[in-house]
Parts: sequence; structure tokens; C-alpha cells
Amino acid sequence: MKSIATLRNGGLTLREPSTGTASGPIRNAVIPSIGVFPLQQHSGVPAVAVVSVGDRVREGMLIAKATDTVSSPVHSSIPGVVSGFRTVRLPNGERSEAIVVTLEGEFERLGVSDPGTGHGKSAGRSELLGRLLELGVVSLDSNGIPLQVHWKVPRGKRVETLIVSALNDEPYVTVERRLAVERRAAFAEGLAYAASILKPRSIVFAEDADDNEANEVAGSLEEVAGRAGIAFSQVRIGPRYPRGEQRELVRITTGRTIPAGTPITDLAVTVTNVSTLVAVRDALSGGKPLIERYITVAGGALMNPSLLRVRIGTRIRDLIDECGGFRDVPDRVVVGGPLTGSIVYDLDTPVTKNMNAVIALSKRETDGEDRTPCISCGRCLSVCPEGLNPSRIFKEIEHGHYERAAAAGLMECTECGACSFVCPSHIPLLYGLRQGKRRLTEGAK
Amino acid sequence: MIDRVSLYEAPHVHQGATTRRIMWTVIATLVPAGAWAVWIYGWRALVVILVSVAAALLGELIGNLLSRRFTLRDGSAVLSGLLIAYTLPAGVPLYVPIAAALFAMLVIKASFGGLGTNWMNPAVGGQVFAYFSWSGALSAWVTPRFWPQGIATGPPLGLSPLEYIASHSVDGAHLAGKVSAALLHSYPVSTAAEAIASWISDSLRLTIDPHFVDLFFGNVPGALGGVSVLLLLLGSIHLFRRRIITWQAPVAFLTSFLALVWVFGGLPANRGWFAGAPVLQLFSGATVLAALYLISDPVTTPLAGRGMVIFGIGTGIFAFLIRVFGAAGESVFMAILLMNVAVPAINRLTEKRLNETARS
Repeated sequence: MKSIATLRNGGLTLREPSTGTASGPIRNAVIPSIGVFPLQQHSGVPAVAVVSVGDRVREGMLIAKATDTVSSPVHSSIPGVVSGFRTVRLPNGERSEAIVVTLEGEFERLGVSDPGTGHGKSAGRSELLGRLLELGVVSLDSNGIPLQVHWKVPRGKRVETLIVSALNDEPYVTVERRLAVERRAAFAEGLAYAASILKPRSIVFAEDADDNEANEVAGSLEEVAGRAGIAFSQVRIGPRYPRGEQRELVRITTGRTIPAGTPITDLAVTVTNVSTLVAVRDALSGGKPLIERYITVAGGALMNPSLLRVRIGTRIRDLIDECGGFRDVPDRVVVGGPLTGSIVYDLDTPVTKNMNAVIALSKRETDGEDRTPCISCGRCLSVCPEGLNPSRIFKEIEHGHYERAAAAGLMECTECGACSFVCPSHIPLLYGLRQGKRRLTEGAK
Repeated sequence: MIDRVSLYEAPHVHQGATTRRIMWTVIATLVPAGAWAVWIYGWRALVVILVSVAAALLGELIGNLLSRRFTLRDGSAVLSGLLIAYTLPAGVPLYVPIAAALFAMLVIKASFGGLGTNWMNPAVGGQVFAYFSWSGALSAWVTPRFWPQGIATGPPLGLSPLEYIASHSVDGAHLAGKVSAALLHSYPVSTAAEAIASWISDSLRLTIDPHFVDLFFGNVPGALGGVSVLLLLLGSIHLFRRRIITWQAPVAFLTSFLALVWVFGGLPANRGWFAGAPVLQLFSGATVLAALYLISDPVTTPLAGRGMVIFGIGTGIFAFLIRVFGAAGESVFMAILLMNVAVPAINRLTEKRLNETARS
């Protein structure tokens, strides 16, 4: 079954940037000489280091363990010596302790094709989830929720729908759809694992309406679903931002609205993506901990925007060198998409599990306009996918009326940034609404 | 206040529109209609336009000096001044645009806090202020360049089509819109318009009143910018394509206004139902200027598209009531002001949250 759908309310059509986008194939990035491994690369409790300075580590070795259910261990992506600990500032603004490993010694995995034993295909749910926890696998989206948490189905509940997204929503970010094609078999195998863990009633494959390659991949996925006796459908989604945002994706594919504030682990619908399923496959079939990921490195300030398979812990500085350095003075380097991502303060910030893109934007691409008074044009309303009135909520927040902002729907905001993107007065609506949400949740504690 | 300057927060990219660019784009699309007015009414039209814009800039500057925030370059004052001039006749005494523009900028706009905070459309408010103050001066029409010569026995040369019809008495009812355009038959018509009308009837087998040709091109005594329906339409195409103006309010307004005129417009003259003159009303009295440029002012109209539909319908109803049962010419302007008052209520009514958790 195939259908074309898109956002039912609001949203906007984004033009693909004329320069600075990366197209395939995906390249392997060079092994970094230094690996920086933050203990916090996922949402939840930070991992706890189990190595000390001077320790020799092997590739894929556990260097920090999870001490809580909502946590994830960290493995070294390179062989070497622990040369120190330092505090890094993560793109979300928080600070995390990080283990620094200097490259040394031999690679055990490099060049060795993983056996793909199919280990654990017969294993039960909790055994598979235990294995994913052990190997440090988290959801490879911006949230980075550990999979043993995200994919745990509460007793007495059932996952109705598993949505598999091969969408890249924001400009410049293109790795997901490319990965779906290049690692098609692994993607399908990962889906088989997800299906045996989540046991959903149906699987929905969400892909870009203009992506004919991903369309071919759908066949492999359908086979997987068929073998597991799960209903399969394919939804081709027209290009309207923010179609890929979890709540919007659920609404587009199932017609259901997730009540604001519901934790996404508490739903009858689970959303996952290509990167996550490929990592799940590499972990469960190949026995490989999560030490690498696929990433978009793009933006008009870069010489050669690329799609890279990169070892977690690689510094952003090294990725930029990998892409030929800067062509233009970057105005800012952003992690995540250009609409919702955050800037990095330091090019020594490492790639973490929850980082899907690094975008170096030149002055020509960024928004440098000054704020002017709101002219009530209503553009923010017309693009809001949740039907909110961002300008009104913003004004309430700016006047310190957080409760009134909440009454106007602040907590329903999914932070897609479409309002700020179109505002002709260049009012920082997204920033203001995020601040307001933070104030409200802090106040509630 | 949360400021954009040096804020390295998401989103890092922008669609590219700025308020200033929007304002100047709207101004640019109004230039052809104004140039036409200067051509057919003479230099006096240009003087009125320039004086009005200068007065609006002066008013804005005074407001800026009081608020210490300088906004002359954002184009909003120029646009207001231009729109005020476009609602006036070429022969208007110059104190009228000056007073109207100063009133618009200082009383309507600056006193509420400047751009974005006024609840009344400044240009429309300035126009209505002038109408109530010097209504005679607003009939200082100038006859256009392509006007038939030597109609000494015809109607008084200075009358606009609506005034001309209003000057006829039919069964005691004598206001424009109450009767069909048939009353225009003895109104002057240009030879060019007659030629075009006969060409249309020959080639398309479509009979049209040559007066409508004059009205459509803007070859009658009329308001500077409102007179050329054709050039206003052409100018607005760009604005529609760039979504600077949206279709909702103009379409809702024209539909409700013209439908009401058509159905009820004949009643006051005892001509029965469905005897109004929608085409005449569409092409005269600055209806098109209002529909495209005045009703689309972002500040003083509802935010959501659904709200714009309500706003348009309401404006159409009031414009119909005032034009058919009340004073003729300024009806659309007054209708807009009446609906400006209703905007906050419309905004509340049209909120449509998809995931409502709490209600204010």
C-alpha cells in the first residue's frame, strides 16, 4: 500500500540550498588521532568512567559504564591510551566530563568484515534489549534516548505502529535517505530486530515522495514485515517542513495526535530512523558496540560537503579537515539541522551518538537581520504545524506571563522553528518559546 | 527584551523576508497606478502624492523623536502617505493630504506606539478623517486626459460616476448603487473606450457598456490611485505570488460586497431584487484599491487566514450597507475601520490548536 501525504496544518516548503549540500556516496572518515568521549551522549544519567589516565584501551572497549536504567555505556572508538579527562561543552549548552584517548596500537576491527552471524535472532525481547544496553546503542536522533528505554514496551501495553523514517527534513541534512540505500540489507535486518523487540501491529515506512531510491528499499522492508506477519505500509511524504518531527510524523501517518507532554516512551506509536536500525543491526548481528555513526557534514562555508561514516569521539575540527576545510569564513558551525540545531562553541567538540549533522554556515546563509516590531502579519500562525499563535505566546513570555503563555499553548510547541524562519520582523520566536518552556518546567519542579 | 542582534540561536537560517523589504515591495507595485494618475490628471496629481508622502514622513519623524526609535526607512510611513494620496482627487487642496497624513502618523500610529501597535489602518483612518473634516474638498475631481471634448450640455464636468448617478433622482431615491449602471448612459465616455467596447462586441460577441471600459482603465474623474483598476490588478499579481497579500480577505470582501449589491442594490430605487450594479460598484469608489491594498494591511487585520475571511465578509457587508443605504463614496474606508475594531475578537475566534492542552 502506498500513499502520498504531508503535513495537514501549517508547515512550509523549504528550498534546498544552492550550495553546501552533500550528496552520496558515503565516505569513511579518516581515523582520528585523538578521540574525545563525553560521558553524556544520550538523554538520561551520564555514564561513569571505568578507565583512568594511562590505561591502554582497545577499539570498541568499554570505557564508561551505565549505572542507571536510563543511561548508556560509552566505548572507545579507537585503540590507544587514555591521555586525560576534560570537560567539554556539548552543543545543547550543557557540560560533560569526557575521556580523551590518544590513538596508539592496532585495529582489530578495521578492515575485518563483520561476520553477521545473525546472533540473537532467536533471542527474546529482554535479551535483545539487554544486548543493546551493553553495546551502548541509543536512538540516533537528536534526543538520543537509550534504546533499552525507548523500545521497552510496558507490561500490558502494545505497540500499535512502528514508524520507520527515511526522511531528512531540514536543508543540508541528507544522510538518512542515502544510508537507507547504501546499507539496505543492514537497514532491513535492523528492522527485523526492531520488529521482534517491539512486536508492533503494523509497520509504516515514511519516505520522501521524490526519493525513488528509498522507494526500492521499501521492498526489502516489506519482506521483513511479511515474514514477521506484521502489516506493512509505505507513506510517501511530500516536502513540507517539519514533516519529519516525531509528533508531526505520527499525525501524518496515523492521523493521531500525541497529547503534548506525553513521554515518547509511553506511546502506542514508536518512531525510529534508518541510522538507528543500522546501528541495531551492527550491534546485534555484528556484536559491535556503538562506536561509529553516519553524519552529514555540509554548509556553504565548507570546501567539500560530504556524507561520512565517522567514529564517535572524532573532533568536529577533524571532520572539517576531512571535508577540505573552509571555503569561506564560517559565521557559525551548527550541530543538527539549520532550523533546530545549536552552535558549537569549540571545534574540539566531538561527534557524539546523538549528532546527525555538522553544518558550517557562511555569513551569506545565516540570518543577520535585526529584530523589528511585530506587524501582525500572521505568517508565524500560518506555518505553525500545531496551530499555535507563536507571536502571542512570545509576547506573553517576554512580559513574564509564563502561565498565560502556557494557556495559549506553549507546551504544545514542538520547537520546529518554522515561525522564526518566516518572521519578516526577525523576532526570535523559537528562542523565546524555548526559554519560556524552560521557565515553566523549572517552575513546576 | 529578547533581541536578535548577536543571537546565535536556532533557527540559523531564514526565509529572507524583512518588514522593510515587504513595505518597499508594496510601494513599488503601487507606482504604475500612481504614474497613470499623473499622466491622466497632470502634474497636480504628483504634487498631491509627494505632499502626502512628505507629510507622512514628517509625522513619522515627530513620532520617532518622541519615542526615540527611528523607523523612517522601513517604508511604512511612505506607504501610508502614498495610500492616503491614492484615495484623494487630484484637485484636492494641499492642506487635506497634509492634515490626513499627519493625523494618520501621529494620532493613529505613533500615539499607540508606532509600527505594529496601531489598531486602526493609518491610511484609511487618515482618509476618513479628511472626509469628515473637508468632505467638499474630496470631490475636487480633475477630468482625465482622454475625456470627450465639448460636452457643454452634458453633466457637470467635475462629477465622478458615482456622484453623477447620485445626482439623478429616481422615485425619490437618489444614491449611487441603488440603481443600475443604465443611468450612466448620458455620462461622458471617451472615444477610445467606445472603440474598445465595439471591438469586444465584434470579436467576442460580448456587449459591454463603454463606460466600464473607461472605469476599468481609469479614465474618469476619480481618486488618484484607485482609478486604474487595471494597473492595481497588475501590480498586485506580484504581491499575491510572493504571498505578501493573501487571497482570503480580498476574495471574501469582494464576494460579499458584490453579491449584496447585486441582490439588494436595486431595492431602494424600487427596481426589485437582483437589480443592483455590481460591476459599476467594483470599478468605482476605490473598491479595488481597498480590496487589494487597504484590506491587506497586516497590522490592523486578523492573523489567521480564517480570520481574514471573516474580516473580508464583514467589510463587504458594511461597505454595502453604507454605500447603498448611506453616504456613497467613502463606504469601503469606513467599513474597514469598523472591522478594525473587531480584529481582536476575530483572532480569538479563529484560533485552532491541534493539540489543545489548556485554554486561556
